[in-house]
Amino acid sequence: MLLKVNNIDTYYGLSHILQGVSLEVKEKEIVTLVGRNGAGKTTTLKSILGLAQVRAGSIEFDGQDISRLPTHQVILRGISYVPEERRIIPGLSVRENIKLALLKSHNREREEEMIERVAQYFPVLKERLNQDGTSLSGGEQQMLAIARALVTDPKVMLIDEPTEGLMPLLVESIAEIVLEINRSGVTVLLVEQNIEMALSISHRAYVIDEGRIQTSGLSQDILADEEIQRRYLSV
Amino acid sequence: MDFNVIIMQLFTGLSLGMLYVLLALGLSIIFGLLTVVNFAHGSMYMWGAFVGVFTVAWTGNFWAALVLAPLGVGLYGLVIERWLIRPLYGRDINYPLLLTFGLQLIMIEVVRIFFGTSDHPFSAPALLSMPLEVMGIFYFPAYRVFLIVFTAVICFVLWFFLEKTDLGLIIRAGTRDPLMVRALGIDMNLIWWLVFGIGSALAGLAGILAAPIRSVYPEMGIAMLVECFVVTVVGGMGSLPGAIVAGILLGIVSSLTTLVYPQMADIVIFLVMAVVLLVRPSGLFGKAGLLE
Repeated sequence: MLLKVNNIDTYYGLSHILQGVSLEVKEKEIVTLVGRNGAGKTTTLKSILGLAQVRAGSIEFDGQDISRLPTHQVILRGISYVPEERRIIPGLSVRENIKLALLKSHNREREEEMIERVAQYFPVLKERLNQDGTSLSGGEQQMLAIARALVTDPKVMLIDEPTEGLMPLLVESIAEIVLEINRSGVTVLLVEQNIEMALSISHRAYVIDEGRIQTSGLSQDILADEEIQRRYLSV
Repeated sequence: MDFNVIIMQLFTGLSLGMLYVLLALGLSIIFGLLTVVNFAHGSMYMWGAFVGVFTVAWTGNFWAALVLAPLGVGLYGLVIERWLIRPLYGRDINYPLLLTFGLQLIMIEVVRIFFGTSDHPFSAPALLSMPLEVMGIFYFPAYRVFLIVFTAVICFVLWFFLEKTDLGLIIRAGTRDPLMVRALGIDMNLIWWLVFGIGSALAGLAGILAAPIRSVYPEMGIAMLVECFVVTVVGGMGSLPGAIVAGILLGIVSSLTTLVYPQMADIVIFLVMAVVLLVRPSGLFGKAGLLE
């Protein structure tokens, strides 16, 4: 088991967001966490990353407990993060956004090589290297956010709402990219509002509602189960 | 009025402005990255001058003082951040403000207790004490020319550091989105610590540079702090280009006012601030909503 979330409780201030969430991600899998807005999807990712404080339970990565580690150390162990709303850093060029991700990685000295690798996935980014990252279109910013998470050779990539606000054509190509990244050997934990897309590209799925995992199983089974869709996923 | 006198006063204003620039840069870089309003900045400036006074008293060497003052005050800043300010991160922005306000009072009192309340004479190094002919029209104290050139060099070094080095890239990024920077594997605590040290060192440097042209006494940083807050507000809180432009502008405005109407010299910068805030509420180079 590469990543194992064990019965965690997470709070924001006084509100109890996650109430005993458990999930597992095996090496080379794409696992998706689906649920309605506010169900606790993003908080689960933030708990793994140490961005939200876990009060109880444990998180194991590669056999070691990472639940009390500061965020930067979690990242250095081989987890990378594609955040909700992309969070491209304003005032930095595309190249600088990528470089920032490389600074603490073992690819630090291989900036040009990594930019070539990014260009294989996203040729458009290479044309915009010196442009301000936030001046890119929404789709291009999403590509940059994924590129930034890719260049460190992560073992697991945590991807939060990658298709939010993108037009259907782009949704398809982002889905394609996630599959391609997974085929290159990167394990993926994906959080999505676009349930159909998430369930169609992932191997297994967890359904979260009101801070608890309600059910889990093979993605195709969840996709076919109308009862689950109606109870936990329909808006 | 004599044209030469105006030019001369312009230079005097520029040298005062350069002190503002150094202090405002320190305040701004700390505020921009840490959102800490450092009320101890004025007393760090004062400590820089005192370190200078005693270094020169012991070694007789101004250049040694020019190195030791920023170094000493910078180290002091590192200690303050690590053990007093860091525990307050994540709380209201007023906590570090109150803490540094208290520190300022303590720092002034400590100097009063050990060194008394009087002025400490301090003169420019022999090398820089003679007047220098500027543009063939007037003589200007060499030390002030040195102050202007040296500060310009420091500004360039700081620009180069922020724009061209890896650490500078992290600082620029951390100013805009510290959470994302952490999520890219960078230890922001370390960066905040270093930047507080750098900002403090700049205050110490301003102190030693000011020592030969302004009096050295325990309260010398109080008025200076207020003036530098005005500079950072006019320039835009957290903006480094703003600190430079506003520092020079206010230094020159204040010293030209001395020529025309000396009684106004001390308050004219507040008038400039009022006008700037009316026209551009977030300052000349400021971004709206920095604290939201």
